[in-house]
Amino acid sequence: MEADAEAYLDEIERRGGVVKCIEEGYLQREIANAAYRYQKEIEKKERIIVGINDYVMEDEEIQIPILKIDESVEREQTEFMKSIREKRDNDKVARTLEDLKTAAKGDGNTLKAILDCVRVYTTEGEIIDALRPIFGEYIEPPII
Amino acid sequence: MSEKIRVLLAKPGLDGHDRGIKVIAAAFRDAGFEVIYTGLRQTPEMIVNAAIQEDVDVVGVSILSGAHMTLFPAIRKLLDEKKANDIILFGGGIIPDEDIRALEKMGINKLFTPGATTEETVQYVREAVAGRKKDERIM
Repeated sequence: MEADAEAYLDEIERRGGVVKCIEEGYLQREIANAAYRYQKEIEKKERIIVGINDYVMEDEEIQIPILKIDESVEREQTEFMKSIREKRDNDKVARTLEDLKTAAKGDGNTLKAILDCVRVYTTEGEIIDALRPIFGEYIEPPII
Repeated sequence: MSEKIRVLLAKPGLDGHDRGIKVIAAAFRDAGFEVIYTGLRQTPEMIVNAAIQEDVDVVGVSILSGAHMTLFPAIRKLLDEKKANDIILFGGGIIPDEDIRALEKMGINKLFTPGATTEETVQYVREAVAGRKKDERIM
C-alpha cells in the first residue's frame, strides 16, 4: 500500500503538482474511476458488504419516519427577513458593505469586514453579492 | 441498435453529491451510450436547454438534496413547454416511496433509489428508448 501511495505521489509530481492535477481534472477522474470500480465490484460480488450484496434479508421492511418541511417555514423566514431589513440601520449596512468591497479589492482583512457586516444585520446574500463581482464565482468543470 | 443513445446527465440545485451520477455516467459510456454531463448546480432551465441543444433521447437527473418534488416536475414542465415532450426523464436519489409514486404520475418516467445496480439503469434506458422509437413508427 505504501508503494502504491508513493507511486501516486510520483505520478502527481510528474503531472506538475496537485494544483495542476485538479485543474486538469486528473484527481477528479481518478476518484470517479475508483467509485465506478467499487460499484462494479459490489455488483459482481467481488467485494462483499453484509446487508448489501450478501446476507441480505429479502423481505426486510424498514420504516423510517420522514421529516417533511412545511412550506410555511419558507413564508415565515421571508417575513422574518423582511422585518430585519426594515428594523436594521440601512446606512450602516451600506457602509460596511463598501468597506468589505474595499478590503476585497485590496489586501485588507475580509474576515473582519464580514464580521462588521453581520454585526449590523447585513444578509449573507448581500455580502456575497458584494464579493461576487470582485472575486468571480467558481464553476466546477464537469468531469466524468 | 444502429444509432447511439444520447443521454444528458444533470445535477440540479444546491447538491454537490456527484459520486453516484459519475458512476452512472461511466456505466452508460461502457454500455455504448453517448453521455453528456452538465456538472453541478444547474437550474431546470439550464438542463432543459442543454437537453434540447444536444438533441438527447434521455435526461437523467440525480437529486440527493430532498428537493425532488420541486425540481423533477419543473424539468418535466419545461421539457413539455419547449416541445421536447418526447425526451424521457428519469432520475435517481434518496426519494421516499410515496414521492416516487407521485412523481411517476407527473411524468417522471422512472426513479432509482440506493441499491439499484448500474445494469438496471442501462437496461431501463435501452428499453425506454426502444419503446419510444416504436411509438414514433406507429404515429
